[in-house]
Amino acid sequence: MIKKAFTLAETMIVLVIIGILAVVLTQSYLTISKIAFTIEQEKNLSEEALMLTQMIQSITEDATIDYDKYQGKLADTKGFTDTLYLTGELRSGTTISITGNCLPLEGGFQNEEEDPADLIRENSGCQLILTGPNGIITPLIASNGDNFKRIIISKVLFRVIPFDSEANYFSQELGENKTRVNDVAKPGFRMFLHLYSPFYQPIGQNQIDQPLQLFFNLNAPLPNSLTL
Amino acid sequence: MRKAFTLVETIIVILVFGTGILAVLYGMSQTLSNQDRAKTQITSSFLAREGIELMYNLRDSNYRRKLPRNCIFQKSDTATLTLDSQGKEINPFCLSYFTGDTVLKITMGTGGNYLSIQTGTVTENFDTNWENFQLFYATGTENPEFSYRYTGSDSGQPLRYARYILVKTISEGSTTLPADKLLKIESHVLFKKGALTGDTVMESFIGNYEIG
Repeated sequence: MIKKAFTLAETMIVLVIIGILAVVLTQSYLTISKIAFTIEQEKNLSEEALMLTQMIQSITEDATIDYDKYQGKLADTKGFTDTLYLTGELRSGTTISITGNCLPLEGGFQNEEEDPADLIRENSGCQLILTGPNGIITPLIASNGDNFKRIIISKVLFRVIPFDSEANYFSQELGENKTRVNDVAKPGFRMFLHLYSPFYQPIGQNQIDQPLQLFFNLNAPLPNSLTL
Repeated sequence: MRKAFTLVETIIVILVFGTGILAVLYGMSQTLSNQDRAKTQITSSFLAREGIELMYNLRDSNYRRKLPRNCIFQKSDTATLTLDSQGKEINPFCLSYFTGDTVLKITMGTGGNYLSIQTGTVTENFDTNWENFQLFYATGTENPEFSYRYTGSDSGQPLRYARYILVKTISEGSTTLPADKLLKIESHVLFKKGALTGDTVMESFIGNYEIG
């Protein structure tokens, strides 16, 4: 008995089905790979954000604002400053500031066609640095081109409260209506920063980014004991 | 003669293929949704932490003003001060006090009030809470803050986050600890993007300094 072979139509149908499945599976694989890559980048950014938070938290535990360095100008800027001057027993003469060529705080990078490697190179000098009392500079976070953790940081903005020190506040002369513009409060500051991955998010063509808005209380003379 | 596939067999094969493809597509959509959720939760946890830190600042600032820890301080740039014999401000700026079960909106103000504090009401309804506590991204290069929409201003880009602080008294068995000694604070950040909604909660405690 002669075994009947597949007809051309049957073969074509099988091939079409195999083709459709192959396309679906390939697309699925590619999409899942892109999502995994995006998740990896976002994880990197959140790790960097967490590390930065912890480093600044440890600095703020024994520091307060060095109001003399601002010469009373914080009230004019509503407390906004790009350089944080700190003082304190162990932190006298400490500053936190940005250096190098950094992306703006808003908007980030816009050119999706740009090669991530070029973007890294253009922003590689951008660093948030801690300058210690002895002049030693420690990068807290920096745009870098490490193969595993590629990040770009934006400019950093601080907002300090209160605008003046308690000593300066009470040394002001009161006017007839007994007004003072400034206020007594525990020193603290808000920090604004954007962390970017140099890659575009493949799904939706968005930037992979992590906005950061953090508030830190600064150590100031307060009682050691709480009444509980 | 060789029998061809029946209609039933063909339909079964199509269903099997279709189910497989749908499962893959569903998995992809779930992964995308989870990725978006994870990213949103990271930002919301930072905002929740900021809420807790602002509450500590409020407590410590009130101590420095020689005001009760739970004073809701409101002072305009041109307010008239009343000072005690040591030159410290006294009570008129405590417009109200928070005790247990109080809901607060707390952020950095735009003027001389370094912290802007308002009381609010939380309901069981997510959308109502969202309306009452949504955060906005203030526009302008000088004021790039995640904050509540400032009174009388419609500027600011709406964000996918809302935040409120819940202040609670603490009970030990049938005894409730005095509200002026220790309170529990919960920083709630709600998030909403399309059908994706949820919240992040961070908890802490605020004790009271002894005012000398």
